[in-house]
Amino acid sequence: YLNNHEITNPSMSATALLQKAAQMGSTRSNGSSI
Amino acid sequence: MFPTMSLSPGLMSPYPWLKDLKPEERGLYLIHLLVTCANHVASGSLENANIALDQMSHLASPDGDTMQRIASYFSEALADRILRTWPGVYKAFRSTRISVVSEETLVRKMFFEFLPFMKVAFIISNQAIIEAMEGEKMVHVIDLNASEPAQWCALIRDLSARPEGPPYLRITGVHQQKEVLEKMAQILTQEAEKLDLPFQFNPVVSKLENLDIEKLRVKTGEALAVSSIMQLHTLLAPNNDFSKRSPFAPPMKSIGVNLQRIAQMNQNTLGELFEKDIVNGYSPSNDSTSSMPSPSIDSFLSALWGLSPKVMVVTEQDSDHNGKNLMERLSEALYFYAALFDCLESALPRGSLERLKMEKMMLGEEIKNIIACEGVERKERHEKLEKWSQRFELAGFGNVPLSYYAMLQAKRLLQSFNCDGYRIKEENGCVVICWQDRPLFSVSAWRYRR
Repeated sequence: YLNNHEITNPSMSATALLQKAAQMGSTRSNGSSI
Repeated sequence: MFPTMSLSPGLMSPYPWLKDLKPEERGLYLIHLLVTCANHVASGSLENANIALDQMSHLASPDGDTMQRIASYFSEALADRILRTWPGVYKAFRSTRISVVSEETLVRKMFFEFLPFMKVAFIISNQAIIEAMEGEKMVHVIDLNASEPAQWCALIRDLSARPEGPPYLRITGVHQQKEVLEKMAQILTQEAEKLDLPFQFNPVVSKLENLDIEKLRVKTGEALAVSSIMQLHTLLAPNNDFSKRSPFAPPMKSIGVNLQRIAQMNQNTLGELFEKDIVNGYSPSNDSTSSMPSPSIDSFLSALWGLSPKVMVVTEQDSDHNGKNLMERLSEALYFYAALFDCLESALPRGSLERLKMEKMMLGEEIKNIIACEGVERKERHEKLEKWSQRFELAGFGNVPLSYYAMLQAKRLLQSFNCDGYRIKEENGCVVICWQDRPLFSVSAWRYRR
């Protein structure tokens, strides 16, 4: 699953990563959220 | 909010493929592991938490990219929380730890130098003080954490140059360490002498939570200013021993405050805050000390109010890290500290020892306190500006809108950092300093209101 990700920016900021993680969480039907 | 990817822990060991992750994948996986681990810690499944921590140890690194660094401190904080469930083990594990206070002071100085937040707070605070003190001949400023002389050197310069002539200035500094205050006194006295400003420094060696208001020696006839930079949240912890009288209570009578009003006001404050907590969905059962009454902030603010300050300038971390629930705190803290670590990434190279020290000894310790501690031990109870405003208003303070000039100076200073990530936002007469869209620190000014 993880290895299929495309890398847009090798040094993504932590803020951007958290936003991306949150988006993934909200679009995944089986993902539990906090 | 964050995804929980369905990878069974069994597949991981000994995790050879973890090494092949690209930075972005690694970052996302670290976030997933952190959230998973925190859920296990919150529900008490420590075996599973241990597995998640083990995986994180292969990916996180205190000198890696921003997410690797943050993950190191959050996993350390979660481990600290787990260890605390065995108080004997925890104490023994830390029994030979040396706390070097001079190092901590040095680290705060770096934070002041490399990031704009303290400087912006100083500029805005000083401008609010100068405006409130216009025409006053006897000025008394109380600094609730007197560790950085730069703010007061700037105030001395500004006051000595004001058109109506310099006032007689007294600065009362509160700090735990005598040496810090002595250094402060020496630097400020020199600066005042150089500029021919009549000046006196009044050192008060005390922890803020034990401060005896009488020692501030506020006199009638002097115009009073109070400055607090990232201090007031430490007073939000529930009182340790409520049979003991609050150290802030005694001086009220001597300074002629209507005690009945304060008693009544405290009731209102408590009642309203309690109601608010219920509305916000805090479940009191998660905090082991939730049965304890009023945090000392209420009596402290009442005591300050009793000194009738012309202005009280407050800087606080603008994030809600005071939720009763661990997962709420973890989520809020992740966003907040991610932004701060990103600021450091923009300011210093990854190998910088100064950066490592700031992250470990300052931000890492704050993260640990927010995640691992409960009750009186949890001091980093950051709250949003809105909550602080309510608290100040209930204690009898009225908002003093920050001036256009104060904001202009702050904006100019941020521009000088040559980094477009920093922003300033005006919110109901107060200022919020942001990294991109994330609010990080709030600065607000208040005054005694009858």
